Amino acid sequence: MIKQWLNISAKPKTRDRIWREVLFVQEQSDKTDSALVRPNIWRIIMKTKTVEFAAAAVVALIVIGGLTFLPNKGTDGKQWWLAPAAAWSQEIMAALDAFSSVTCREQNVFIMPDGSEHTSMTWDIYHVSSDSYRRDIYDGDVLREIQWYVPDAGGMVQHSVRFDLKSYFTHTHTGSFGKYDPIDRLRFYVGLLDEADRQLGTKMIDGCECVGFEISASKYGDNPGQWTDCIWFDVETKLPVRIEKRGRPVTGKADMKHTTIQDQFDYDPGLSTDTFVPYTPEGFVFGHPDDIQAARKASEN
Amino acid sequence: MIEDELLKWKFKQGSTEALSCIYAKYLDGLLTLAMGLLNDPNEAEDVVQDVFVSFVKSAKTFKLRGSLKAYLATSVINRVRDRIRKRNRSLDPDRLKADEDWRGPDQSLIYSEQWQRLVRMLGELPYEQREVVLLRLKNEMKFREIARIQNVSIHTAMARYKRGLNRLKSRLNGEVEK
Repeated sequence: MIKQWLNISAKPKTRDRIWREVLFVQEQSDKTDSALVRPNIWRIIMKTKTVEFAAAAVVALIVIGGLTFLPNKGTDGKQWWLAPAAAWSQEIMAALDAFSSVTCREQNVFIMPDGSEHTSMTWDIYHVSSDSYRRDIYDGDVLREIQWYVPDAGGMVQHSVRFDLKSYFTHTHTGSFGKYDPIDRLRFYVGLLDEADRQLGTKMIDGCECVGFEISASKYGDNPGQWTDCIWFDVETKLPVRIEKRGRPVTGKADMKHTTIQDQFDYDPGLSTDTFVPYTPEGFVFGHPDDIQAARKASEN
Repeated sequence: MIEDELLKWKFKQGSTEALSCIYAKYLDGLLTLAMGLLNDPNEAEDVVQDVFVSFVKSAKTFKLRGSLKAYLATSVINRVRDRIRKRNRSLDPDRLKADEDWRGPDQSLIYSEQWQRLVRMLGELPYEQREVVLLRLKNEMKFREIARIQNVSIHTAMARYKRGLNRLKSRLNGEVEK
């Protein structure tokens, strides 16, 4: 009864008044975003000693040599990405090395036989730290599953919670989550930039001007030549913003291809300590999802 | 929880629609919490408005991995504590007298007679107990979360809740149950 009595509500007039204020602040924030976000990214980069030293050297060159310094342009007036990758990829490597955690989104785009594209309803958000990994899997707008991979004395503990099945499953295995680590992937591609097949020019991604490079997958393994990978960098910060693995086959659909995209990278996002602490919602039952589904199907029949 | 995860994500992407959903979903609950702690509709409104404004300002740097509901409730608690510290106020008979003023035609909030009766009794509880009772009953927060907010052990939070609820029950002459 106490709980029922604990209810008040705002009158429509009050509700509208507060909402207008909130909206106003949001609009003001949007206007100043571009000015605020970039310095943050710059501060992140400047956390690394190597880059800080490089920046100091550049400033010294400008002062001593009287060179004209323009943002995003080399001393010869060209964009930085037009210089050999060896000249700038180490800077990016150093910045990536300095990050202790990252989050990003992953989704698949299917290329249909008629050339049209269809983005999969299932997509993931990855949270990765130096030794742990978490993957949030969405079906459309609904969070279907969370998977944690956290270190344990016996190897890696994999804990999965399926919200659609109201179930969870835990097991320990050896090995790591290396192939899922976005930072490892980024480092891998940056290391291959010397061998890039072509430069894709610039385009806007998520409001940032980006420059892309295409690398054939045959450069790093026994892969078909039509498998190509692309990596896009923010021209301002030089940080990677998007990876695309194009031309991959679709199981059982010879006339279809798919592209895996990782984007919306957030470097050193300040993940809370409980991000990598597996939990199980109350009332969820233990069992492998396949077993749970089979049992439910059997009980329905 | 699932819905909130999505709202948080969309909100971080700058979605006004997500913000609108969060606002619609939590406004009344946060007002109830602020009112229950401050016993003053104007101050409660100010606190809740401050909470949403700060929330919007934090959109681009927003990194919440836990419960959105708990986050907003904690924001209200922090602001209420600031106000109480600044004014060193307490819910004394003078404050309760002000209740009568709320009933005017221009009142900004809608509440029942039971609410007014209950909030008077809540006002007689020590502040920490009031916080626990409201966070637990109204915001359905876990004792672990409440303990973290109050910087005490879970047992202390549970004991405060039990004592607070018992006092409320006895004041309401047993007509009230949880």
